[in-house]
Amino acid sequence: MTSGIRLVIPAQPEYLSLVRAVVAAAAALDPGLGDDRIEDLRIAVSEATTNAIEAHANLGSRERITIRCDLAEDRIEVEVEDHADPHFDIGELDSPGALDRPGRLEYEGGMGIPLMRVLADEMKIRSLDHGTAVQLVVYAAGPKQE
Amino acid sequence: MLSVSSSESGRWRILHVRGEIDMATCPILRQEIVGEIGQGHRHLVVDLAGVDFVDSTGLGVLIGGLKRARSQGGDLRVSGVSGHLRRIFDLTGLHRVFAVVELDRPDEVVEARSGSNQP
Repeated sequence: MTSGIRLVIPAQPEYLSLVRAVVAAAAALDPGLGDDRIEDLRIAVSEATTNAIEAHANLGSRERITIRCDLAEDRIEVEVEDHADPHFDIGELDSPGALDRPGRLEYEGGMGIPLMRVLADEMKIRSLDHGTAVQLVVYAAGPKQE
Repeated sequence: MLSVSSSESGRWRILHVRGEIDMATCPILRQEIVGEIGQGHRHLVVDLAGVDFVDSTGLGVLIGGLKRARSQGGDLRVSGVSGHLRRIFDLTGLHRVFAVVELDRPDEVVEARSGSNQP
């Protein structure tokens, strides 16, 4: 049994704080998620939404961004879907150690995706016909053991 | 929202930041840092004690400020890094890049550790 909400926002940075507030409030409905996990999710969702806003801005797109939040007993899933052309080179992203790469801190950007990977228990990026969807999952009990 | 006020401690100019640092608000912080360095305040402490949220965009502004300050022969240090902010600094490796100081001793690097979160 899951329950969920859907938030559709203009692709503008001013809406980021609203997204964080809604996702954190939704996550707080799950009594199993502690404050630290909610904070992890809040940051990860903000990073995904920031990337979506940037992608829209780069294309001059006026489409909206959709954030879906599904609560299940053991986890919360959030999906951020943009309407920019697929903008991630998914092959390039498969580098969990990216934050520790030597010389990494010479660059001011590019921390968002590695940060999402470590803050969420699962992160999946899907290319859609009209854009990209980033799914973030946080489990109440912590990361699932493979 | 984000607001920045400033104070002095010896040669250090301290920027007290309040609010959330994200893509919407980081231009304010960037402008403050660039403005201070432009006015010759090359030794900066960014006090994050009043910051509720910072994401990678905000961290990028701090890195940019650090590089700019060092290029002018100065430095940029941070204070008030605790709780979840500390975790983000640890996860991104920024705890090794920025000197974390206490405001009354900005010349000293305080080895602030995240305590029980350490492996």
